[in-house]
Amino acid sequence: MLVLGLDTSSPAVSAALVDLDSGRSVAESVVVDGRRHGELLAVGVRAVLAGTGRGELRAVVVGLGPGPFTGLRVGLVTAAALADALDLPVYGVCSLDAMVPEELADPAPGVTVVADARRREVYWASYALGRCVEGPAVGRSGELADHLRSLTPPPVLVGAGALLYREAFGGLSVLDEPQHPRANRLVRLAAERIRSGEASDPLTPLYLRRPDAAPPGVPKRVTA
Amino acid sequence: MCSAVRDRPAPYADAVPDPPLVLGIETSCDETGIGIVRGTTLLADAVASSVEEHARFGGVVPEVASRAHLEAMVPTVHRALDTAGVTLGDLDAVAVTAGPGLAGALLVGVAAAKAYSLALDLPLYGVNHLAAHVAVDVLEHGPLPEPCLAMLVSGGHSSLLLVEDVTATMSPLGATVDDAAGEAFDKVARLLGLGFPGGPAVDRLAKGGDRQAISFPRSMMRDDSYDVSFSGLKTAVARWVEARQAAGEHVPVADVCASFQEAVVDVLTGKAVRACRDQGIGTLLLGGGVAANSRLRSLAEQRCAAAGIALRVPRPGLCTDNGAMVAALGARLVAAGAAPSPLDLPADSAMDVRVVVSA
Ligand SMILES: [Zn+2]
Repeated sequence: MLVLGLDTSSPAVSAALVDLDSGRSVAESVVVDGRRHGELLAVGVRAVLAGTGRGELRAVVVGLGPGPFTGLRVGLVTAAALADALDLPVYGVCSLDAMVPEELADPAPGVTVVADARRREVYWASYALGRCVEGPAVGRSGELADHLRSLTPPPVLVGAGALLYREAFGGLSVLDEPQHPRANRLVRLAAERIRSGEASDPLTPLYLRRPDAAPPGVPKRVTA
Repeated sequence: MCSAVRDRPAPYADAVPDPPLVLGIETSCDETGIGIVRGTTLLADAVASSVEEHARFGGVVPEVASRAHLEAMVPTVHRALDTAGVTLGDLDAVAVTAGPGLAGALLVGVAAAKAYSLALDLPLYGVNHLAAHVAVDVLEHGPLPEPCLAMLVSGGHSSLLLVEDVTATMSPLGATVDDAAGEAFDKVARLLGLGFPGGPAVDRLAKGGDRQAISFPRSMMRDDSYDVSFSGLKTAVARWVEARQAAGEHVPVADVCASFQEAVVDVLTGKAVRACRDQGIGTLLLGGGVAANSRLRSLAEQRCAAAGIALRVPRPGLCTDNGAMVAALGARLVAAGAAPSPLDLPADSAMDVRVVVSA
């Protein structure tokens, strides 16, 4: 059963074709360029689908973010339109879920996934025993660091946001990999729902921030 | 309909080729426009507008527009398909506005167009928004006499273009040096407390006003260029209104609207008609949201008639941004054998008017 996965919630523009029966990635395309999601994603999808008939696909899975909005929407609208055109179900998964390491020491510590949210903030979510227990949320790295240090035992950190603000997270252990979500992992996280034939998701992006806009005040006078 | 023709025996299918069936996607500003055109026949023009979400901000908020495009995309495509009575499998090509416009908004449409083109194995055309404003008129008034002159006026653009061939060559003759015409309407409407968008409200109130009541300036009216400027006019209106307010006098809103609107359309039509004469062009085409303005339409008619120029103005719904215009241009490009755009086509917020289709 072949499933196409996409993620554009980070600078890694990621597309993957996964065979759910074997659990193997059949093809994968990852290009790290945070400014060209729109140019890179469709090309990546074409590459991973090369040699596979469109009719062999069974579902599309996409990362819902959180992530910078403009890039994030490229993945979501691409997934929605592909699924529409090919008459496939489409599923959304929180992109941070795809960065929780599959293998951790036993007993496993908690894991906090931290992504760069720009403007000196991070997107984050905490996991225990493979489940999300806090977040996803957006906030300042220093405040998150204080919160995480207060937990016993403190969680292990992973993600580009944790590496970027390594100083703020001083005293907490930070893994080097993975830095960004990958589409093949997202597909595996949706496997149960795909196999059981669940209905498509509405694909609501995890923006976590309101648009920057304020109602205007009184028009400025031009005469003194 | 399309497949029925294709199922005919081969000689007939070759003898009577169907005009191309094209899906057009437009997301350069706050309207998610999806059009379906077969050749020069309009089959569907579905628009989902986020204008009400912008009203309280007094202008289009790019992030709000982009969010709305994402939500509206697939449902609006299906609204258009249902209206046209065709399926995605019937399509021959996908066209999309590649620019100019709001970068994040354009990107949603471009990504959607790529996905449909990739999934359905269809050629993709990333087209210029301004060329699409020109091409839309063939849906209503038939083949466009080329060369012709196009004056495109909206909240985002005010351009005078020489159109030699809408599928290949358009040259800019003039543009606004500051505010777009529609922007001036929005700013004056805000000053008068008329809300956003300003164009329709000013047009409506101006009908009850005297357009000679106040003599507002006509910037750049008499210079040699085909450029226009509306920033000084907007300031002049503000000064006039503030002076009345400061004196505790009543502000005659209808007269202000009518006189301001007259100054705008006087300059626009004056420059367009002069450009037609100078260039020896016999046809003037209007497009863009401000071309829906009733006074612009009537003054352009009057002046073109006096100058012996044929005037073409699409109906208001086809002047404002829509997907039909993109589909109309796409169909012309397919018919002209133009090369499709590559799959790594970028959204180009500052796309040059001389580029009709992204290579
Ligand atoms: Zn426009």
